[in-house]
Amino acid sequence: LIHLNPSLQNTFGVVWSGDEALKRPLFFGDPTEEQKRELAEWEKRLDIARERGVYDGDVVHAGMSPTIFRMAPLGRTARDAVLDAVRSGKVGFNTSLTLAFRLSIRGIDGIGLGAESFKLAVEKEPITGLLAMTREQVDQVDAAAPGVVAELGLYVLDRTAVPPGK
Amino acid sequence: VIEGARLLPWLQEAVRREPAAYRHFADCNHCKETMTVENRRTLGCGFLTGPVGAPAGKPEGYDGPQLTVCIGYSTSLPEVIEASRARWWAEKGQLTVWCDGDLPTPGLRLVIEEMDGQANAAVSHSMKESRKQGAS
Repeated sequence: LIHLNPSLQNTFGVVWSGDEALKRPLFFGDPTEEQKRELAEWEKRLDIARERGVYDGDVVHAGMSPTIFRMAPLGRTARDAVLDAVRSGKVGFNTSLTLAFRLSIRGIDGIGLGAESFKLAVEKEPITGLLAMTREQVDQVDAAAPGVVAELGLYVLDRTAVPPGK
Repeated sequence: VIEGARLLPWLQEAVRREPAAYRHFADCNHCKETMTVENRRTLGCGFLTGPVGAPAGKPEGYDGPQLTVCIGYSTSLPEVIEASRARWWAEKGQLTVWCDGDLPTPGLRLVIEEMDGQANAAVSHSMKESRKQGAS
């Protein structure tokens, strides 16, 4: 049982939906109606885990530990910088997700990047002028877990615009 | 979170007035222990996957947006509890202290504002009801 309380103010942990420690159903080819239902149920279970911050045996395989991404909610300055970059056309939608991820990430527990413990490296990000994870490191993360940067970038942006869920 | 933030003050008022009637909505563990899954499904329980019924537990006097999930689920979300604690400090002008010297995030501010407005409405409704009962 893993507790990762979500927070509107403080750093919180979140698990990527593609983590192999999660019980996400895997299908080959086009899913049948039954498989679509199974997938929808899985997505609801993951939503509940993220909303409540409780990852139990319903979502995590026994004996496995998911990688935990430690993220901070974007403050007003960071949020406005990302939104302004999009509105002014300096960045497209996908880049805005990467930007949100880089500005929000504070640490990663248990990612297989070769190092025993992941050390966050930051640089001044040229579009926003704010400190963010380096480009090199974000590329490493995306190579180790393809899709995680866009998914969690969107997760952070969604939470910043309007607090999520119920 | 925003739904839970709107409803928490109403649930607190309802529990104060009628604790027995609202116990299931104020304590999800108690509800899970005493209700069948089918009953919880008809109440719009947020812990269940698959189709659920129209959410139950709308408190008397609340005229905000429709509930999308049982009031017990939304009001017990960790961020709603967090915002409720932050609001206590904000009322004393000490929100920055609660935030360890940082500025509150836009999300936290929005949730506190929503909760505060609904808390005023819930107390006002309770006072009106008390006056009505006193007059009759």
